[in-house]
Amino acid sequence: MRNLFAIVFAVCMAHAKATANDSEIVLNIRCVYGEHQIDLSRGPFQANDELQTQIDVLRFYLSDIQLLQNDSIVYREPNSFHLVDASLTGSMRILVDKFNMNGGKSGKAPFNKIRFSVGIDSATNVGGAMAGDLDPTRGMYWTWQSGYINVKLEGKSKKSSAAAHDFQLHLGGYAEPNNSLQIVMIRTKEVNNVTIELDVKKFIDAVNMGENHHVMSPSLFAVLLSKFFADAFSVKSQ
Amino acid sequence: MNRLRKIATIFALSLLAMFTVAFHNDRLLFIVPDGWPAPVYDFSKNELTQEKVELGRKIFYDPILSGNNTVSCENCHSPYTAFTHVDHALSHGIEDRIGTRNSPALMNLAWQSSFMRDGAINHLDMQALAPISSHTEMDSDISDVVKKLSAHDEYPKLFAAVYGRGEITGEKILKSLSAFMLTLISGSSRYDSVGRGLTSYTTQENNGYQIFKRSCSTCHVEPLFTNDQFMNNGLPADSALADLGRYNVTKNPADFLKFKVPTLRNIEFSFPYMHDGRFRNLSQVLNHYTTGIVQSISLAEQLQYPIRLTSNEKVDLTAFLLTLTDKSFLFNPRFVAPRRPTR
Repeated sequence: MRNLFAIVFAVCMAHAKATANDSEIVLNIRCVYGEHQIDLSRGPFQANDELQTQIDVLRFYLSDIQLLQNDSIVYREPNSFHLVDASLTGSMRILVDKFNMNGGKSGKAPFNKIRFSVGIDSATNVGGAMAGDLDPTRGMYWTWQSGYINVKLEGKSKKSSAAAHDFQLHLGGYAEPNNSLQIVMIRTKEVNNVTIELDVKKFIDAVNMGENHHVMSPSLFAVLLSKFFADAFSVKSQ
Repeated sequence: MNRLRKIATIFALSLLAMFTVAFHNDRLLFIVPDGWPAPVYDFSKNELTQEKVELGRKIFYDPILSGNNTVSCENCHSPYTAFTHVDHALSHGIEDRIGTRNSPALMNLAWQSSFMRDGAINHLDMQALAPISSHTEMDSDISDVVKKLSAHDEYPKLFAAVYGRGEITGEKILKSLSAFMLTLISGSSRYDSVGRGLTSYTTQENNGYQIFKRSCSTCHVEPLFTNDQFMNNGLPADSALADLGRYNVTKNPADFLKFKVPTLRNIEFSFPYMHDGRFRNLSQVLNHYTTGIVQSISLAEQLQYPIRLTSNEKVDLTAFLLTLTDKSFLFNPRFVAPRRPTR
């Protein structure tokens, strides 16, 4: 009988974890190309613009998520490492429990800014083998030289001067001067169901792919591209 | 009441016994030799247990790690030659593909802060990813290894015994391999026995030790016989290999042609020498340091002026270097391939 209760309890808890309710804040990650949503779950994304941009792979790490009221942190997610993958819809939604927040018990959860990092910090990069989204089987770790790949974007664009207009951007690097970790801070009016949008078009427009269509290792250029990538995030009101 | 007390006592005693055995075993797994510095490896993130070390040992010797199940870590890291690839200047891997470097000897890895000849790997846990993925070594992928181990007859049970229930992951495989490799400690050579006052050098060995302290010990720092740094030791660059060493990792011109200073422990067995295995014996190595140094901007400061040694001094220095041979390391039955499935 006690076992049965434990199982029912566990199932309820698991259910509560998986679905948002009044006690949780939902952070939705939405990847777009201009006006169009990028959903790679059923194959590559094809844009009908003059660049004929195609996106095959779009994966990146969001880490150290913080919610702030002006300049004070009201919530900092513990063990905050999320691999966002445009081909996995489940990876595009992050839940934050209000009861872990300062002042969250009132149910108001006041915050007006969101801060997060794009990529993996240097301490984690030198910390050995990790689990979950940081496991090297997730395909976001360089094998020939230690370090996480913060951002993977692969596809085609007429901007690229490579064969078949391919581009393959693997942005990473944790050691100075090639530390490509980026911190993003954005204001938000919405506090319950926040949509963080990444506009890949804005990023590609900023990149000179005539010379640099394949980036596969830490470099100053990878740092520059990482800055462009971070600049492509914004909060959209629903 | 009496019976209850009896049961409680037995319970407490058996608990105590369990803890004692566990403590005893874990102590045996990793002992810092007297006078050595604290290890670099953070054991709090990967606690050693007998089962984990045995699991890592089984994986180390299992060709399942390679794409076509033919090559294990042992192919380039044989226990009988201080865990290096003896007799091959450049190590070869799957389908006899030749790499660009001589495989390093594996020992005292808990004291090493970076791995590979150029330090491209920043943590012992992540080291195995490189040979597993390399086209010339194992030509596989950590995700493939996870799949193969998960479908294996024995591994799922062995992983569950160490890590509890749950899937086999990349993290668990890498930490198990680290656990085994961390136990590969060589600190029981004749040199160590002399240091502990258990024996003494011959006159020749002692002469060699004085020469060593004068001419070699600033880079090959005792007691690990390496400073864990990258140095250019004046080898003429091989135009075919075009290996720029540490520069490849840092892109800093000051690191041009620098390679990790290797330990000299078990040097008698870890031939051939240098990052590309160009020297077959110790006499070629000593001749390089006396007459072969090539000047360049990144040449180690310690080698700006040639080391002068008479032929007698070379013989004495070699006699000392042979005192770094550690038979209890080279022939340790706990380090060799497990004979049957480990349980």
